[in-house]
Amino acid sequence: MKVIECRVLTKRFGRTKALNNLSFDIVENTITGLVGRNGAGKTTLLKIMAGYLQKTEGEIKAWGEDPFNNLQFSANMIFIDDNMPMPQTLSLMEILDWGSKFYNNWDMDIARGLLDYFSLAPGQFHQYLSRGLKSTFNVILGIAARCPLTLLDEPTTGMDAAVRKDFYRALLKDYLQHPRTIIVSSHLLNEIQDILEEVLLIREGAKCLHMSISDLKEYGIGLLGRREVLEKIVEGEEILHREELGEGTCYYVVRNTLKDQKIKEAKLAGVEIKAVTAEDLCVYLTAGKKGGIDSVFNEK
Amino acid sequence: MTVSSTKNSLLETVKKQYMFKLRLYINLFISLIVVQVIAILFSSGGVGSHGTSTGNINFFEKTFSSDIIIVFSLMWAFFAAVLLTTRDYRDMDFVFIGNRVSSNISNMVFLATASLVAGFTAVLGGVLPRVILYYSLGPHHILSDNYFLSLGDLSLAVLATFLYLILICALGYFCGMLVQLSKAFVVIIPALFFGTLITASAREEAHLVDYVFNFFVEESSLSLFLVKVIFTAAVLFGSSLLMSNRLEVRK
Amino acid sequence: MIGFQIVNILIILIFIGLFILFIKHAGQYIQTRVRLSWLLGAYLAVLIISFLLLNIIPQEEILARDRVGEEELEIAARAERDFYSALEEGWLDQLEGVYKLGSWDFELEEEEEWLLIRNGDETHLPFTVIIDREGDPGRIQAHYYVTRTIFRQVDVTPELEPPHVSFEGNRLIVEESEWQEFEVASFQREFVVRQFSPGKPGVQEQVQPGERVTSVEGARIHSTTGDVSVFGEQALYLKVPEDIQVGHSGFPGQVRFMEDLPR
Repeated sequence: MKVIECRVLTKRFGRTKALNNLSFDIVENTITGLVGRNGAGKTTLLKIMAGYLQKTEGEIKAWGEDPFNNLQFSANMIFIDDNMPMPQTLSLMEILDWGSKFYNNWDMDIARGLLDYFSLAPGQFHQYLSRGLKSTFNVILGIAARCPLTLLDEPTTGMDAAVRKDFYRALLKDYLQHPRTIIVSSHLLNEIQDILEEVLLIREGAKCLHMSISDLKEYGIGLLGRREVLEKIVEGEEILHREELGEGTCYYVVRNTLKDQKIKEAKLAGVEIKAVTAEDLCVYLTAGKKGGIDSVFNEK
Repeated sequence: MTVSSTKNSLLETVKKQYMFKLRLYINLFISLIVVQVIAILFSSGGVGSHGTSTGNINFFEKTFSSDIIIVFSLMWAFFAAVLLTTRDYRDMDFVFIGNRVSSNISNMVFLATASLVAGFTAVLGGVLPRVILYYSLGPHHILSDNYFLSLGDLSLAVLATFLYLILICALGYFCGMLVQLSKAFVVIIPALFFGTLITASAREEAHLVDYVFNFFVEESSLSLFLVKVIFTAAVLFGSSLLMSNRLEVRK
Repeated sequence: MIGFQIVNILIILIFIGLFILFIKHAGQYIQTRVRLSWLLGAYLAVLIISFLLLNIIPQEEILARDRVGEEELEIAARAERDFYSALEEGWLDQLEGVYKLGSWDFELEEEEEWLLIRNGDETHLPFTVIIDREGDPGRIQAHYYVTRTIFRQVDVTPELEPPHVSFEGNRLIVEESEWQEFEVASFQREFVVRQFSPGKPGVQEQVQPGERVTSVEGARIHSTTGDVSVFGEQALYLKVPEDIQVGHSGFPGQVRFMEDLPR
């Protein structure tokens, strides 16, 4: 069953287009990673999905209804980000208590356990926490709410590496016990790819690709060798990335649709065949300009 | 997990948000106390005095009233209502479940509750100096007129103060919402208000602020006053609700 | 005018600014929830207790639970008007509303031929001394009479104090009692309620001054803001033996001898 259906969704802020003709579906009980570079529109998309922002054009439906300003939808969704407003007059424990009053599926045991595990004192106040601890508390809220739709916008901002690992593990465990639809946004894919099932990659407000993580891992193939040789091989292939390494050596990334025979030829010609990680692939796909950062220096 | 597993009616959400706000905005009540205590201190010295002497006796009369406390509470109500429309306070409603209608309604119910509390404490705040005077000045020096406050007097005073507070809250909420729509109103509203005051008083003629003011202050029938206040507050709150529909839910 | 207005508005604006800042940040720095709600509870408790206290304090003692009525006011005014003539014509006991606040009885030394009445203070005494030579031989009797003083319809006569009178040798020394401050507290209803009850006494202060004074001709009744005051007359009445010489100092124009008065 589709939880979210998005059709040619566009969002404008004044003259700038934050989202551009976005179409995708999110299926029930999956963890989807929303990946894109800074300013690609991840937060805008999540806030539209959360019903906070109004779409400009197109259509977005959550469980068949427009999420914007929708009370019914709001009861089934929680949106967590690192600058969510938090009560200044309530201690952490009180905030959790109120969470349990608002959300029907709230799991207080998990909330308390996580609070304890991450060494957050229940009597503390949110505004006096460090940035990382604020994020930690926010995601505890997100996990404990057990909402059918959980949206996490850059949830690990400010957390240290150990806490990040623990958090993703906790999220995955809780998800396995209580399956629900989770969308996590991040600009770092490798951090979240272990828990993801789906990846939605966006670039400048438009969809780049949307597929399962296993498909993404085999989406591209890297070829390293002499330029003249490679240029012949990649002819007619979909080139995702090209990099000059100097002294006539070149690195190409192409769609993994090369025929076996071509690969054999390439190997014979001394071309190294490399696997491309999902992380790298995302970087190549969302690169602003062909040639990457090097081009800035090479043009001088 | 499906949608049907969690059905939340508007009423239920408003109720939850209202309870949440009572707890969350406790700082507003604290500021009310401070404002009222300052006003009580101001008014405990008396608001007016005049003396006459004959022979070797100086007769000195001090007048006491709790008007300052009520005026301060009214100012508090205005700014508290404005504060509820600001981004930080509005966003807080969407940490948990809610939509704009529920958020606005729970704000209004909260403001009504706050008005009731403020009205009650403002009127009783005027009682405290009287009791202190009984012991400091002595009962022989107290003119009994208006000194005592029966339960009936108290209820009437609380009701009247409450109605004024509601009115001011509605006005504050309306102004706050205008400002949220466009920051230009931060300048426009005070400029209009003081502008009409200055120009009209320079020409020494009645002005709009006067008319509006007299519409309420010169109403001598309580029931008519009640109708006027409820009607005006409903219009102001209603238009605030409509205006808030032009805002994004949360940024 | 406009400059004054602008200064006023500036002050209001500054005040409002402080107000907003305060409301916005109040409670933010106060830490625990416990303290906040305790503060709230304590405030409410104090207010409710003060309301209860107001309703259980002994009301009889409150000044002017029963204010002096119209009739009494007229009596007081008439007493004030007729005080001296009654005193001098000897029918004071028939005049209503006269009080004797002090009496002194001194024995004269034998065969004393003269008596000096001296003002023991530097100040002007606020009453007249009336000397009656029809007293008993060998004694001086002094009485201090006042008519009622009613301030804001409250009879404050009991609060008045007589002068100090003492006798040394052949000097009668009269000293003023201490300067008395008589402070009263009056209360207004809240302005939010005033508008609903016009015409109630003490609620709206728009009674025309002097409106009800006319009933006693020639009397001085002071009416301020709807409440009526009558300030009484006072006199020290001395009965001295017939054959004694009486002199006085410090009472410019305030000593009168009964026999000098036209009968």
